[in-house]
Amino acid sequence: MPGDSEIIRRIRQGDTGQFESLFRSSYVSLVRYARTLIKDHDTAEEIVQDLFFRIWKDRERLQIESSLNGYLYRAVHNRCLHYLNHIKVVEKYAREIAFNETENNETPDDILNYRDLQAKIAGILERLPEKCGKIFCMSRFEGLKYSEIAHKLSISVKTVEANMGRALKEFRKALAE
Amino acid sequence: MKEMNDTENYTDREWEELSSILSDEKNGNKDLFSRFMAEDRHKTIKYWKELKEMNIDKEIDIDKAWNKLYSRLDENGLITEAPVIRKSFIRNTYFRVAAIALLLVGMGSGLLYISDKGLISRKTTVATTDNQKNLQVTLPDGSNIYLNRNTKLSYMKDFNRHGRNVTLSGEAFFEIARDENNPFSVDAGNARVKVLGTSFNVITSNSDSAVEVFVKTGQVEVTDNDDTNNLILDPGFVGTVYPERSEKSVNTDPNYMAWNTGLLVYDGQTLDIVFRDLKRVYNMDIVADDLEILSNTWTSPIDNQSQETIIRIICASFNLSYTKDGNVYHLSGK
Repeated sequence: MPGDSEIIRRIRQGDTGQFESLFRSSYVSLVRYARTLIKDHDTAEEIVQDLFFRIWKDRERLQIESSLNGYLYRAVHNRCLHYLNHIKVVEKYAREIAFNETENNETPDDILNYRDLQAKIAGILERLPEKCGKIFCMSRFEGLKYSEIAHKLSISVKTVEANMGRALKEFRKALAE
Repeated sequence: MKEMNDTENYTDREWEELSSILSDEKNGNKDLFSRFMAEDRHKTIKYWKELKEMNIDKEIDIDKAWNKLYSRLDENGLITEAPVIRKSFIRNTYFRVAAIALLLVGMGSGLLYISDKGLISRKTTVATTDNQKNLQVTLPDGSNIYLNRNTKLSYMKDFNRHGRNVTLSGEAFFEIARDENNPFSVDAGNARVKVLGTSFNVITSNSDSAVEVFVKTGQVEVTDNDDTNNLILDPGFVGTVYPERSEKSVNTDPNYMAWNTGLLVYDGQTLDIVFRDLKRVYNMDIVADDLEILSNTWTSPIDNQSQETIIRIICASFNLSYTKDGNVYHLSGK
């Protein structure tokens, strides 16, 4: 697979094949990520599709400073927040979470943490190296086993383990911040 | 200790183990886990697990999503190229390849579609890189093909309609679904392999440009380009087609299919043979700083262990030590 800057360059030049390939390789992960913030599945899918629509529409102006993966998650994150604010469902959402959480005897603190979590993950993904972030997403958002990730990326399970260790450390660090 | 620094309480190795435990990959060290749990003021364990669990309820249909996005782009005039036959990427390891290859095999230009970025054919091509092996391709007829590293396989999109035919360069293992009325054929370099339903391995990447076919089950017919030298191969035989002649022999290498199975077996072979196989099967580069090392003999099987494990076993067996330089392992006496 080509590297990030090559993928971006090709998309800027109007390479639909590259665009399709990026869409297909990141769609499931991004939708599942959006779902952690937005409870409605169809809306989560729409948000991710809309992001890709914009990327293609404005491809000539596409500027990505961080990793491509980090950029996509950050963008989905911002769009989810925007959506939540826009339709003013934040309170409803909070109530929903509160309702769900009371069943598990959670404290109100958890509700705040829970929403902050999204921001933290976007931050983590920007700090982690591209491949490490990808592995983290495949494990946590696509629900793949280490062996499945290893097979998909043609790397050893050992490499997956090492990268997941690094991701967990970063995750813990971000939660403590 | 300050909160910000408590990630430093664990070594990288411990983080690895913790992440495996939290991801339900293995049980791991109970003491380590208890220590982590006791210090888990920030609910790391809970959130780590939740990220996965809150999402497993609904299937996501990528094809449907892509078609929806594509239509929307098209309606907004954002797809400028002429209509092309779009095909599904089955995972991102499948690549579209320009139709130049199609021209080379002399197919009609009626099958080509012109777009603003070149030619796109109705041909599906799957390729593996240096780091990738055992990529499984399932054909429309249910046949399975496993590609070794640096291998390319292509077939027409309507492959089932006009005889089952694929083109191969590199190495692949074929498990072909039986169909008496519709023979399966592989165009491989200067040879053509024809079967009804069987399993066999084909190599086109030998340095002397010979094409090699090994039969695991069933019967295989191999012909050369001018259809003069025909070989009929039974299970256990290897047929080799050179530009001028063909020959067959019984395979005596127990590790012939190791690239596909990952299993290497030995019965007193010297380490230089073992290292050659490790390169071929695991893409592992081992250099003996002292040539004496290579004359040691080896008798245990190697079965899908990690490179680290393999090199440690070798070192322990012969009292050697190793250093790693990039991807290359250097062995030397202690």
